[in-house]
Amino acid sequence: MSNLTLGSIRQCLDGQIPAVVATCSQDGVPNGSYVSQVHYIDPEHVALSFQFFNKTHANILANPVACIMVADPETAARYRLQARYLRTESEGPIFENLKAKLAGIASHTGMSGIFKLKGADIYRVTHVSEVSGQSALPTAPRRSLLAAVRNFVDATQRCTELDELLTCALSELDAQFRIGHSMIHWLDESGERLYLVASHGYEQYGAGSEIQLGHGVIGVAANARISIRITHATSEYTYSRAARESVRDTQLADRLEAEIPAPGLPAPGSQLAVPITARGALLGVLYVEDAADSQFGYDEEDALVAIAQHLGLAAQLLSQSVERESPQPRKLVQDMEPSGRSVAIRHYQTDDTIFVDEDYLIKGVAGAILWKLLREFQSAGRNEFSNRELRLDAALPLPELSNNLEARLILLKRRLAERCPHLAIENTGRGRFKLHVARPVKLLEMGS
Amino acid sequence: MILDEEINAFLTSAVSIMLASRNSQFVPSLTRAMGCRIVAGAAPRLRVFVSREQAGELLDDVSASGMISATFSRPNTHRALQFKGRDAVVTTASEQDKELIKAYVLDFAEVIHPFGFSAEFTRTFFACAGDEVAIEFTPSDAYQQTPGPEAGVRLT
Repeated sequence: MSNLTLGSIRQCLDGQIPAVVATCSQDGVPNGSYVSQVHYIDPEHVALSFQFFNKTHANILANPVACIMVADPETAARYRLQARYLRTESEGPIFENLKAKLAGIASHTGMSGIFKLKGADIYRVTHVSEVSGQSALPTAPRRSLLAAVRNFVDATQRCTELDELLTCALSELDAQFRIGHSMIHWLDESGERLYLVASHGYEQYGAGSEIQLGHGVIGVAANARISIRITHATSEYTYSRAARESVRDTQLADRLEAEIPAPGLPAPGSQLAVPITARGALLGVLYVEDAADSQFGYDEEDALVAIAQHLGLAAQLLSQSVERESPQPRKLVQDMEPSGRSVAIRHYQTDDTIFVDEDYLIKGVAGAILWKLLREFQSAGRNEFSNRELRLDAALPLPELSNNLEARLILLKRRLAERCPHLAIENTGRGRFKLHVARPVKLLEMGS
Repeated sequence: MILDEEINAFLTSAVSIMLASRNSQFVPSLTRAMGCRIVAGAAPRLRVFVSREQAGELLDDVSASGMISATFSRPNTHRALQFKGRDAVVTTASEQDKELIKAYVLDFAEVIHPFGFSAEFTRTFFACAGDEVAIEFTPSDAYQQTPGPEAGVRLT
């Protein structure tokens, strides 16, 4: 078959049917070996996991030609790849990707603790051929991913605010792709952590729960700026554990943040984490999961990478247009005078942590914003604000990333909705919002 | 080399069998086999079966060099052994061999069924157009191939 390429048989490289690699020693002795993973890099390259120093590795160092046999788990068709070994990588995106996938495979096959990645052996595939004379089963009809991407892009490009964009994105993933469990994390000011800004399909929304770069599928995807797709997930990379491990710092607020329950399936079978970037800069991570194994293939990964790129650019465009506020506030719900028992709100200057009565609410930039809003409310009776005035406020520790203000406002709004019924933020137009205060507040500055 | 009963039973059970050889330029070739028979004798020989057309270049390489590697792996335990030979020959498959292949495919289907592969899938996977041939060789070396630190250790 002349048009057979590595790209057209990617579905064979997901490890459901183990691949086998044949090599030959310098003195002409052939060797066959099962490979845990043949990782697709691009239409001309694959990476093989190198876990133990074995004959295959020794052979390719001396005689760098290999023949790899893979099989399609749906049709039973088999293919031979002629390949030439190029190099072994023991760090970097391909290595990290293989490591994450291998952990999934090891756990799935009861090999945890035995599989440990030493390196990623990179090969150039010189020829792909179908095994001649074989039979194959027909493939089942598939949902058109291109049509799904088209509908997704059409729906999300109409959004005029970041909050709307992220919420719409996750509900469109469900509507167009039947992906029912998803979340978006945004990169924080330090560039070391991600915090949850949107989730879909979980009992707990989990706004504000954090993940450190490099931890779990989401943290590894963010750190290496690559999409990571796991077809047989393992606890090592599950979300909740990553979230727990992320919070090892000793600072009070960091420990408190751990109390924000992280959403996530208890035992996902399939996981896919895709960095959201704009012009090469990391903004956040889109993560989807499913309880069943092998739900996301290479094509789904491509679709979600395209979507994440679109989200990144859309988010950046919105952040550039926030300066142009809508001229008139929307029709609002009637203002209510605060009534009932007063609420004590404590602000700790060191890290802008805020407690409502005895309960931790939020910290960092979002905490500083809320404190400013409450003080304005208390001293001047103001309850209408604009993103612009926050952006211009030198006292707020805002980062250079312009869209981070919007992301922090989303976080604050969701945290209030989840944890503090007495306070609420309502969007009143593009770049405008209103603070609702239901009970009298007593503001207590706790010093540094 | 001597094959004990336990190893014989392993080799002739529903294990996945992959054969490798190489051409005069030491470029490797590879195919899947369907079942194995132990041919008794002073030095026992392994007899494995492939489809002539599906085996591709491997048959030419085996015929030309006699060099072969046969890896036997049990899908549900990952236990794997690799045997090497320098005297491999290609011969016709007997009726008895073809019966063995049929039984092997049925047994193999049962072993991989729990992994989500239907009997129809396994039948298709091993289907061939009646062009089965046998490859026979005397194992000169055998290696442990089960994933782990013992992989690659020579069997004594």
